[in-house]
Amino acid sequence: MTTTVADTHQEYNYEVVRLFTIATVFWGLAGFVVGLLIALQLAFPDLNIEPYLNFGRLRPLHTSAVIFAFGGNALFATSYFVVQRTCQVRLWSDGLAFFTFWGYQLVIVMAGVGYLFGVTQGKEYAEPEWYVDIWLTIVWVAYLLVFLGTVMKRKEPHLYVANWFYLAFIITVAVLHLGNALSVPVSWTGTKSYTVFSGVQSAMIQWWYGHNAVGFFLTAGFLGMMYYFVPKRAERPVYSYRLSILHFWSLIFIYIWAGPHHLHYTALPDWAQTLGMTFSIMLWMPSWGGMINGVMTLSGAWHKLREDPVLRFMIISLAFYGMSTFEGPLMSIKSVNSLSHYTDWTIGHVHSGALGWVGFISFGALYYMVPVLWGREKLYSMKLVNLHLWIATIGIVLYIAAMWVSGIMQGLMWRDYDDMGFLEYSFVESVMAMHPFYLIRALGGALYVIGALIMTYNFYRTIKGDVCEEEYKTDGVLKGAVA
Amino acid sequence: MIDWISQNAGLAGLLFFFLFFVLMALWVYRPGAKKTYQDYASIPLKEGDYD
Repeated sequence: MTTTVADTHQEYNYEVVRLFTIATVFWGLAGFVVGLLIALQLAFPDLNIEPYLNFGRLRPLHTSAVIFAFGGNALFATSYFVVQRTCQVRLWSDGLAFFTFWGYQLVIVMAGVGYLFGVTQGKEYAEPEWYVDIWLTIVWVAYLLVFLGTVMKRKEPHLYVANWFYLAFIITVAVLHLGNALSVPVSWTGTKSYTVFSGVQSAMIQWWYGHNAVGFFLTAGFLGMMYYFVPKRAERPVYSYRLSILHFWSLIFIYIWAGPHHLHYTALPDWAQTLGMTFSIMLWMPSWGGMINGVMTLSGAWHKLREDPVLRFMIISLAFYGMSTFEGPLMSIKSVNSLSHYTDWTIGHVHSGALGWVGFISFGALYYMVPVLWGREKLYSMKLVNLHLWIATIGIVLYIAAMWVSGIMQGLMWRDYDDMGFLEYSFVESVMAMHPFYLIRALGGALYVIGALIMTYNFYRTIKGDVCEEEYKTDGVLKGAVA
Repeated sequence: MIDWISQNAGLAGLLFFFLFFVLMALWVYRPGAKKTYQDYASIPLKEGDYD
């Protein structure tokens, strides 16, 4: 840094980015711990405490906390950071930017409290009731205005591709939310509402929303993160900017059609199922194009991976992105889906994407941003970053390997029948067979939580201004400065 | 023209988006633009005005 921290603050609105960063770490820890708790509930059913803390209420609390609270705050933080720095201007409207922070935290609290008290629409990944949906719409429009306002007053003539991904994420999530949340409240003073769709249309709208929450919230937004933080951390331009534009348009054109693969062998018309499957398979190309583009950014500078655990987080996240976007299309093929659907295989697939891709690219971005945001020369400890990396990676591998085995076993047990045409196994036998794998999964989750705690400690010391001196000191000088 | 589009909305939409995509791809990979895109790619690295 050539200027002081105070100067930087006058130019960029880092205050709101810092708030979102703290919220990301806080909600991340909360969401991971609830995930561990429900993993243990599945292994030990006695841990279900009726009525508020049973699996049925805690499961949406976990999914919403990790996707919308952890992921959402990470997207707010990084999008505000990236759009300011690549447009070379301060965020448009400080007031509105701070409103998005407090408004979004209110969405999270209202949604979470609702789940515990049984207030839910029962729509997967869109459980909050109508009053939360309306408030979220207001906050989201403010978010769009802040982002667009900043883009429009930019000093850099070209809008860097990371912002395209963020903008696609913001706009598409708005459209998805408005479509899927259409419902009629029973009364203005009550919490209950009913969705305007019914039957198979309701299911299709739900998974049009649900899959595009994966495609635009958990993919496009985090790709925006990838396209900024990987080149920034590697100190090299992205491998191919032309490929990134092709990646953008092909991803957003194709993703939107893939939802029906969640409804294979249901009342949804066959042609719609086949359409969803076909588009899911086509997604192989943009996904892998994007992964290759990110990884190849290190082409000619692979030694940086050996030296920098933060960059390692980002590149491992891309490896998980490649793996889960290979697995997803595979699972969308009808014959594969007939085995995998409704089993733990799906849970394992989701978590390789969520823990590996979304989690790791966010951790990488946070490790980059925290010293910059608080004006510190470097992180408190790189060794702790490395420790976090490996503990969390082992956790993910335990998690997804356990779910592969238990999921495929579950699927095979359900479809197995004897010579007389009777089912070979009762349902409860398949549940009992899962137990050892549920223990392994909980162990994997526990490791992931421990990793996040290490990160939190590292951030606490970094923000405090501490530097682990003996770690950096070589030949009498401090090495490893990051900003 | 407008009658044909309204009667064949599915096909018209498919053609529109497919053409948009093909033209976009051709435009991005047009000869002589290599330098332009290399400059765009370096935007995150040159943002040194304020820090």
